[in-house]
Amino acid sequence: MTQSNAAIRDLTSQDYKWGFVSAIEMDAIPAGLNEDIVRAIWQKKQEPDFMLEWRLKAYRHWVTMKEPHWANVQYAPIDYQSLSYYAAPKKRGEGPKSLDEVDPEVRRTFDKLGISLEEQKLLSGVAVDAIIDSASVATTFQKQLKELGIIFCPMSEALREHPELVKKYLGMVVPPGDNFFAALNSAVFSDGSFCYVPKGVRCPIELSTYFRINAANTGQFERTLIVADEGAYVSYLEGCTAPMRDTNQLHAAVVELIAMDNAQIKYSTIQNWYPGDKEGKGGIFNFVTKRGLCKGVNSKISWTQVETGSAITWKYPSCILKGDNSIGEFYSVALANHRQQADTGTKMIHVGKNTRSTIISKGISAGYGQNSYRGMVRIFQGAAGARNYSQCDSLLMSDTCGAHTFPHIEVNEPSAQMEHEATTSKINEDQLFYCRQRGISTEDAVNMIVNGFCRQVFKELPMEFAVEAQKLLSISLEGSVG
Amino acid sequence: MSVESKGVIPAKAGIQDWIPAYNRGDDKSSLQVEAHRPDGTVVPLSIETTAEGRRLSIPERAQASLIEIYETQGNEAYSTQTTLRIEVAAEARLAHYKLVREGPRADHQSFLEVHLQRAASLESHVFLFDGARIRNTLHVRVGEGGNCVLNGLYLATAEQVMETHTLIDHLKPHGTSRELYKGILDQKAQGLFDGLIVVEKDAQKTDSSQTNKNLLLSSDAKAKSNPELKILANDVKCKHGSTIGQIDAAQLFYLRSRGIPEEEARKLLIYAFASEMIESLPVVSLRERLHQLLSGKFQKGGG
Amino acid sequence: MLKIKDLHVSVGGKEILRGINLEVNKGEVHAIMGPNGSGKSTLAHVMAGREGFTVIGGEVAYEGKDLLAMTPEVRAGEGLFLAFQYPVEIAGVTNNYFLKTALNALRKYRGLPAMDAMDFLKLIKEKAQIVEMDTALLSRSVNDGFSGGEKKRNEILQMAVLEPRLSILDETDSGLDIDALQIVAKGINKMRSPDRAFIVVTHYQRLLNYVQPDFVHVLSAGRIVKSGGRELALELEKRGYVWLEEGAAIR
Repeated sequence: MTQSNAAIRDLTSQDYKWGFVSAIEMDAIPAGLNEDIVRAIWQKKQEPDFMLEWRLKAYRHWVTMKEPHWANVQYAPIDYQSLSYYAAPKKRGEGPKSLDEVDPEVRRTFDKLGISLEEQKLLSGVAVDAIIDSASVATTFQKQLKELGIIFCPMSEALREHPELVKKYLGMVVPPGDNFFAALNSAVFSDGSFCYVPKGVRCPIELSTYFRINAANTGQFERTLIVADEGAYVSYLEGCTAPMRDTNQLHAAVVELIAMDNAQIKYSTIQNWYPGDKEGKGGIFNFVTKRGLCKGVNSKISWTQVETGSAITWKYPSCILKGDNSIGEFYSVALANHRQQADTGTKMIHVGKNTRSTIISKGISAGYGQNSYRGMVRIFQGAAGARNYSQCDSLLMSDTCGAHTFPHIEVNEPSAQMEHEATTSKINEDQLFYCRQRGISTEDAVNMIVNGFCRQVFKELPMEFAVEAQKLLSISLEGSVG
Repeated sequence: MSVESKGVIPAKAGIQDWIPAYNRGDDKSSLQVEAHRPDGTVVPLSIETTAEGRRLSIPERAQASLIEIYETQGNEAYSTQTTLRIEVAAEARLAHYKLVREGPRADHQSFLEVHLQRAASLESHVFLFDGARIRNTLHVRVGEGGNCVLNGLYLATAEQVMETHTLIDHLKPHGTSRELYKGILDQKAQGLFDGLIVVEKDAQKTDSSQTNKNLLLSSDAKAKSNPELKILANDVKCKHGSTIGQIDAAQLFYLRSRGIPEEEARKLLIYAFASEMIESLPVVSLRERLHQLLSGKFQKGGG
Repeated sequence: MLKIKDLHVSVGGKEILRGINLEVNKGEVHAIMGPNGSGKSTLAHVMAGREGFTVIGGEVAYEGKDLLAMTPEVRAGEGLFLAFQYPVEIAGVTNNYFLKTALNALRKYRGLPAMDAMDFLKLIKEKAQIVEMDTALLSRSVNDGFSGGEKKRNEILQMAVLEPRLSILDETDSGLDIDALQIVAKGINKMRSPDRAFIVVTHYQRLLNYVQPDFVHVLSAGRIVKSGGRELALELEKRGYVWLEEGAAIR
C-alpha cells in the first residue's frame, strides 16, 4: 500500500485506529460509568499497562468528589450514569450522505466563514471518498515534523508509540485529583493531542487539530499534553470557527502544557460550540481544565482564546510560574449572546523569582447573555520581584445582558507588584453616529467598534486565526444592536 | 465577653463640642449622631434597638453626622459586635466616621447598612488601627440619584487580621459611588479587601469607581484584594482598580537624592500613603487625632 | 442643492428651531452665526440625521430628494459630510482603518469597486498634506490622544478623502489657536469648488477672515433673523449679537 493511500485510509476510516485485538464486542458498551467501563475503554484503546492503574485511580477519586457549582452559572443537573463514555467511532457511511443533509443553519455559517466545501464535508462528518489534497497536506507536514524530531500525534497513538514519554509528563500539571471534571476526564478520556518538541527546536508550523487525523470527531473527553523541552518553541491552535454540533452535551477536556528552561508554548483557541437555540436549549456544556507549568527558567506560556459558543463555558486557563523569570500570559475575548452564560477567567500563580503575568480579558455581553470573569492571582511568599498586570474590560450591548468581574488577588510577597483594572462600557451613541455619518452602516460600525475593543487580544492570535476570529465575532453579533 | 456599644445621642452638646473633649481623651463614648435641618435647627434622632440590631432614620433634607469610636485598651480577650441600619430619606446627607482601636486580643465585628433614598448621600471614612481581628462591613443601597463615598484605611501590624467587606448596590438610575480603601500591612499581618459593586438592571447611568491600594512592608504580611463587579445595566460607567505593592522606588530615590536617609524616607512615604485618607476627612478637628495615631503606629520620625 | 423650508425641530420636548428657511447652491459658502443656544448645532445635527431631534414641521430637499427621510449612512452616500464640533475617540480602531472603511462604504454606495490598501495609503499621504498632518498620527486609534487642533484637522482630512458635495462644519474653529485655525482654513479653501457647497457654523467671525463666505446668516432663538454678504459678519463682530436681537424683538 502506498504511503498516501495509507494516509487516506487513516483519514477516512477509523477501523485502523482502534484496532481489533479485543475480546469485547465493539459496540456493546452500555451507558453509565463504573470500573468495568473504565477497563473496557483501556482495553479497546490498547493502552499500555500503566494507563489502567492511572485511569482506575482517577475514577476512584472521582467517585468521592462532588460536582462544583458556581453561583453565576445555571444548568440542569447532569446525570453521569446516563451518559455513554465510549462512543463507537463512526463507520464510513454512517454520517450524513452529503452536505444537503447537514443543517442549513450550519451550512450558512460555513459559507459565511469562507470554509471550502471539502473542509465542510470533513467537519460535518460526511463520508469523504478521497480528499487527496488534505491527505497529502497532512502527510507533508508530518514528514517535516519528523525530520525535526517533533512528535505530534493523537494521544492514543502517543500512548502506543511513546509510552515512556507520555508517562513522564501526563498528570504533572493537572493531577487526576485536581478537580471533579479533571478526575472524570482522567478516567475516561477518549483522545486528544500529544506534542513533544525536543531541545532547541522551533516548530516551524502552527500545529492545529485540523492536522490531527480525526478532526471531525472531536471527542467529548479530550486530553491534550504539550511539552516544550529546553529552548523549544511551539504554537498550537485549537478548535475552529465552524459551529460544532454534537449530540454529546458535556465536554470536559484537560489540557496540560509544560515549558522547560527557555522554552515557549503559545496556545490559541477559537471555540464556537453550538450555543443552543435562542432560548438556550440544546447547547453544549464546555468544562475545560487548562493549565500550563512554566517549569524552567525564562520559560513562557501564553493562552489566547476567543470564545463565542457553547451554552455554558467554564474554563480557567492557568499558569504556574515556577521557573525564575518565567512569564504567563492570558488574552481572552469571551462573547455571551442570547442566553449564553460564560464564566471564564484565569489563574496566575507566582512561585519563582522575577516572574511576570499579564491578563487581558475582554468580555462582550449581548442579548440575555451573562458574562463573568473570574480571575485569581496568587503571589506566594518568596516570589520576589513578581509582577502582575490585569485588565478586564466589559462591553455591554443590550439592556438585558450582564457583565461580572470577580478578581481575587492574594499577595504574600512584599517585593511583588500587582495591578488590576476593570472597566465597563457600552457602545456609545456618539461613536455609532460618527461612523454612520461617514457612511458606515450601523452593523459595520458595531463590528468595527467591537473589533477595536478586542484588538489587544486579536493581535496575539496567529494571523489566519485572527481573521477568522473577526469574522466569527461579527457573525455571532448579528442583530445584537437594535 | 461581649461589649455592646453604648448608644448615646447628645441632645444638647453637638458633635463640634464633643470633638475637643474626645481629642483630649476625656470622652470615649462610642456612638455620636446628630442631624440638622437645612435651616440649621437640630433634628432630634432616636436609635431604636431591635432584635437584629439598631435602627436609625435620617429625615428628608437633613444633614447628619454619625461617629463610631471603638477604643478600648484592655489586654483581656473580648469581642465587640455592633449592627446599625440607617434609612437616609430623600435628599438627606449622612457623614460617617468610624475608628477602631481595640485591644490586642480583641475580636471586632461592626456592620453598618445604609439605605439611601432618592438623591441622598453618604460619605463614610473608616479607620482600622488596632485589634486582633477586625471585620468591618458596610452595605450601602443607593437609590435614584444617590451618591456614596466610601473611604477607608487599615493599618495592620504584628499578627493582626483586618477585613473589610463592602457592598454598594445601585438600585436605581443616576447613582454615583466612589470607593477608596488603602491598607498598610507589616510584620505578620493580614489585610483583606472584599468590595462588591452591584449595578441592578434599572440602574442606568450609574457612575461607579472603586480602588483598593495596598502596601506590603514585610515578607510575612499578606494582602488579599477581591474587587468585584456585577453589572446588569448597560448604560453605565463602572471601573475598579487594585494594586498591591511596595514603596515606590522612584519616590524613595527622589527623597534620598535630597539627602533624606533611607529609613527616614521610607517612613515618610508610608506616612504619605496613609495620610491621603486622613486628609480626606472633612472634619478637620478629627484629623489631628488620627495623625497622632498614625505616627504612633509606624513611628514616623522627623517632620 | 439644498432647500430648507420652514423647518421646526424640537429636542427633549422643547422647540429649538422655529422655522428655518435656507437655500444653498453649488459652489457657495454659507456662514451661519449666532449666539450660544440659538440652535446652530441643532441645525447641523438634524442635517446629518442624528437621533434625538424631532422634526415637527417643514422639509429639507437635498438635490431634489427628501433629506429627512434618509438614514445617516445614506446621507453620507449622497455626499453630505458633517465635521463634528466634538469628534469622538474610538479605541482600537485606527484612523487609517476607519477612513478606509468609510471611503469604501461610499464607493460601494456609488457602485465603485473598493480601494485596496496600497492605493488608499497613497491617497491618504496626499490628502494629509492638505492639513499638514503627520501620517504617523493616522496609525493611532481614531482621535485617540489628539489635541483639539489635531482633532479638527482630522475632520478636514476626512472631508478631503471623502470629497462630499455638501459639507457642514460645526464650529470647526472652536478651541483652535491661530496656527491651527490657519491650517484648517487652508484645508477648507483647498476643497472649495464650483460643485461643492459649504455651510460653516460658527460663533466667532475669526474663521471667516480666512474662509470668505458668500452669504452670512444669523441664527437667533431658532430663526434666521438676518442674512447678508460677508460684511454682515464684520458688523456682527463690531456690534455683537445683541444688536440683532433687538432687531428681532421688533419683528
